[in-house]
Amino acid sequence: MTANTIERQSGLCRVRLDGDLTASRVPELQALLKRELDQPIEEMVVDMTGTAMLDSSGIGLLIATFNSVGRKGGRFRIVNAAPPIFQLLQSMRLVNRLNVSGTSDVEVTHG
Amino acid sequence: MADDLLNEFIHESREHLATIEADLLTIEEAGDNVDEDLVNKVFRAAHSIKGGSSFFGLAKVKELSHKAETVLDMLRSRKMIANAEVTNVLLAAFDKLREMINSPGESDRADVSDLVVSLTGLASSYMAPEEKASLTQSATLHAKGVPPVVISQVDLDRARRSGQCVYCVDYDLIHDIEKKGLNILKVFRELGESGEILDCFMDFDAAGTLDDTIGNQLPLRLVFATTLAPHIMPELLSIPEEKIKILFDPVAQAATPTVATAAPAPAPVETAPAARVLATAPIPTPAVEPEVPAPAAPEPRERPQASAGRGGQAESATGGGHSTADETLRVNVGLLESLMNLAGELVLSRNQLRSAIAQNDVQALPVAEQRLNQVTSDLQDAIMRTRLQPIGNVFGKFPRVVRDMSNALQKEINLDIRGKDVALDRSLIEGLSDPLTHMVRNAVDHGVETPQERTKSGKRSTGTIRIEARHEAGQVVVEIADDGKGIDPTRVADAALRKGLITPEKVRAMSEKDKTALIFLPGLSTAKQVTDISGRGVGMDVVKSNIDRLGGTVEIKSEIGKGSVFRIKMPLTLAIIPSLIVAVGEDRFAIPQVNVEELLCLRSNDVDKRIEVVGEAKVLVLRDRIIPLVRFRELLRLPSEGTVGCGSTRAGATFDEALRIVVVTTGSMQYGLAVDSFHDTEEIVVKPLGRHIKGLREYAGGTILGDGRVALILDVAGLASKAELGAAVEAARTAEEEKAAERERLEDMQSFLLFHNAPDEVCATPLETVLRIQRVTPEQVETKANRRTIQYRGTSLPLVTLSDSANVQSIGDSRELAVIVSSVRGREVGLLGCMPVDVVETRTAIDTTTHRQKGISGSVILNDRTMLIADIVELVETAYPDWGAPAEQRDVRSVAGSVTAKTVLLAEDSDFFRAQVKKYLEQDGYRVLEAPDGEEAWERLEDNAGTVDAVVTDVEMPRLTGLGLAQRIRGDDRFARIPIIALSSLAGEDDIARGRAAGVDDYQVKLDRDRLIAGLQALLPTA
Repeated sequence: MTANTIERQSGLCRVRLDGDLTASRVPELQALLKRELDQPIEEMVVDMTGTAMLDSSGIGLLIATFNSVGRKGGRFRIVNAAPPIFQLLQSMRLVNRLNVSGTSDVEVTHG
Repeated sequence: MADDLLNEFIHESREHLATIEADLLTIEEAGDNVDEDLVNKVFRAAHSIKGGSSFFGLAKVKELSHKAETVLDMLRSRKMIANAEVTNVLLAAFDKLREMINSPGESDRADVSDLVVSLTGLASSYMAPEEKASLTQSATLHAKGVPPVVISQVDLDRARRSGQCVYCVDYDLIHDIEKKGLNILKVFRELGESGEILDCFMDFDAAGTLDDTIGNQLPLRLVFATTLAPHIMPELLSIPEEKIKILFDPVAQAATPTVATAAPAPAPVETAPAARVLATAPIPTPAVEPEVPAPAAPEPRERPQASAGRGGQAESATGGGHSTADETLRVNVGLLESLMNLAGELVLSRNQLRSAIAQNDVQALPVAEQRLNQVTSDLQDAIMRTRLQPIGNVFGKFPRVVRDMSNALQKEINLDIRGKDVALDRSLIEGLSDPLTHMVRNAVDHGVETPQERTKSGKRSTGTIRIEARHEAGQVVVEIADDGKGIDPTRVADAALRKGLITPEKVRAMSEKDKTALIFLPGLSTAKQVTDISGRGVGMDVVKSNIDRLGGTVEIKSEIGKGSVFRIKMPLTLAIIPSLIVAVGEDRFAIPQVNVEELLCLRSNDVDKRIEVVGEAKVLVLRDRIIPLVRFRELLRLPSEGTVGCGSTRAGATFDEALRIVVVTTGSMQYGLAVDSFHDTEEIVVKPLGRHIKGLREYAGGTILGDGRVALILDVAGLASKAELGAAVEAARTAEEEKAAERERLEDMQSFLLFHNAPDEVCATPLETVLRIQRVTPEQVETKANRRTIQYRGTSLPLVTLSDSANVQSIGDSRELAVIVSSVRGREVGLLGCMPVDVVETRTAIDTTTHRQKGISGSVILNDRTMLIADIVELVETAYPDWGAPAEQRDVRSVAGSVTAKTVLLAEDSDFFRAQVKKYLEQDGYRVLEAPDGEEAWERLEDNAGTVDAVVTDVEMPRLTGLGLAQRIRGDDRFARIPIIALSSLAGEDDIARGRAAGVDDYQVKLDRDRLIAGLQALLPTA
């Protein structure tokens, strides 16, 4: 089982997936993300470095996370999406809605 | 019966109205770029509704549709452009019409006054086209069962330009992709490869939150543009058809009722203020939307071959059903039993074949094949028969139509209907209904005269209209004949001319039959009054386009005073036709048997005899007539093979090297089609062309041959028009040739004024030099110091006579004198002669030597008499030597003369003129180089390069014309800047334009000396 890395700096949470985002992994990731949301959240960043595969369930998870974060008043971002995945999300018009970028941006800072 | 008819009318009107909204919006969108076919289509729809409503006494419907029709007519004739206001009013009007048609009984109580006022206002103000609504950024698309979809206008335009359809696809990522084991990345990549994803809406709410179970469903809606046809989409996407809706289809105009607005103005869904609504709807495919009415109404975009090509579509179109009544079919029980039997036979034959194949029994195969062949044909035949309806179904409404119309017009008409049992395929019957009705109405309205007119011309007061249907040579022939006043080809041609639908040259070249056929042009009506009954000349073009679309032809035979016969020929069925298969190169083509007249095989030595060239076209000599020849290879732009065919003179040509020609007929014209080889005659199944080649006129459809290869079915009429074989082209060419001959004739003409010197001596002077002629008496001539003058308008007009300078008789004692006034060196002078005077045009050569002397420039023989040609300029020089050139000119010239005289190159083939002009030029101080034709002029120019300052040239000359010379001069750097003056007898606008185009600076009529000199001075800068 691949380990997921979670960095937290008070309200800012960065989740690094370390592996594919497919149906088999969804339950485990769902539980993990849900736990993170028990704490107050300002921004959640999903780092897709190392994620080569994304399937429908995986997309479902991303959207569900986005919804949940939104309910808690936080912002949601996806970074480091590999080119094929980025293209897919672009075709699906999800890049803007889920705030997806293909590269990592500046270190999470606490303003 | 009455109810049936009314229902039919309502039904038809609904169909017309169904497409009008979409069409109006499309017309509005096109703005200045008027799509005439589309406007015509809407116009005809309004016209049909108006016609029927009048028939059924639906007054308000008639009033409103009449007004709408007026406005549409203005759109059609481009007096008005469809802007937003016009479209809104029209949309509102048609909405109201729809409402009224749906409850006809109450339609008379409806309030249409506002709309009538609006429409009238539009029509009477001939509204100037307003600016197009500014381009919007987005477009809203509709389809049944989905909320409106917004895409960018740019995307929509691009889709339209590329001929792409825009689909709305309801996907579920989980069900349609994951659960099917598909890879979503791959799916979207493939989508991207087969089209463009214009937009994608994922339903975030449906995805739930982290508290919900993930992976149940993920619906999304995709807006996708692709060239792929609707029936391929389910396969591509691996989802059921119901989930795919068409939002936009650029090819088919088979738009059906939209979900969109009942409100007159397009209701913008977006906040964008000028969002336009394009209403389209799913194409009826067999499994989808069976209750959507499929149009039997005219579809102007589709071409004649669509009829054959619609074999498959026609099935679904009608099978799709118009109303509940039309979803079913009545079939004779005996026929059904036949079908059952045949099905049984088919099974047996198949078993036989299978067994023969399995056992490799070579003997049994041919037997089995034959049986299978027979059964299949019989089965096909029987099934076709289930779709046959007697044409009497359509004929049934005519008695009433004729009766009511003849009562209204106070004519007495006897209707004779024959052949009610002739059966035709359903779709053909439906398609014929409108055209036949129009033709019957025309026969009553325009054909048969009133009883008074008839008795006056010796006919019986009761006219007869005969409607007959019969089978003839594999086709169904329907005739509508009347014994009325016939069609006057001249009146038809005149009407067409007046409306600018045709040019005078074309008319000149047309036969009576062609002129009569002009009746099929849209926009033509020869009725003196635009009566309500047959209206604005819409009838016959509706008829023709409908019949063409069904794969039929219509001909007119008419005799003034005797009557007319309209003959419609229809194929029996659209789906399967016997055809001749031919080959060009590697490709096979099918020519419907009905179009094939004969086959020819010409050996190379025959070819020279039988194939000629007329103008630029090749023609074939076929016994007693000449028909155009089209080389299919050339038309298809394939490389030509060797030297087969025209011009080949190889001895010992073999059979294989012969030229194979199919003589085809389009019903109204024949031509020869040269192909590489003939193959068999086959019964082929007509498949419609793919949407992207549907627009090609030369193909009517496609088929798969026995060996599995694809063959395209030729539309011989379309091919003819592509090869530009229209009779009009021929006529135009002939007319051109005639015109050219006429010009040549005119060019050589010279006009002279004849007058008498001595009573028996007739002289001539070039007419162009004559300003006016005055009759005087000898008393009016004043002689002082040997110079004669007369008083004219307060001044003295100096006179000269031939005898003063030349060795001719003097005028003598004639009482009636004529003074021929010309202008020489800027002054008026009169040549004194005797009456009578006359003017003559002649092409006779002018002799410039025999009688040449001072005052006489030459002579010409007219009517066996020799006439001396007076040279007024020389006469003046002799009589008034001190006149010379005006002061300024002289000074300038003497200055210029001290430097160098300017050199003019003069090109003129007539010796006489050349001598004249040379004299004028030399008198004015120019040095003249002369040449009798263009080529020699060019040579002289080259020999004297650098010294020629100007060129004066005639236009019509042998070897090289004046314009040719001008072009050459302009095209050569050495001479390009030399001024050129052209002299010609012809100075029409065309001629002048041609001259300027060739590079001529000044185009003058022969022969105005002063103007020529002035022209030269203007073009040549003085020192």
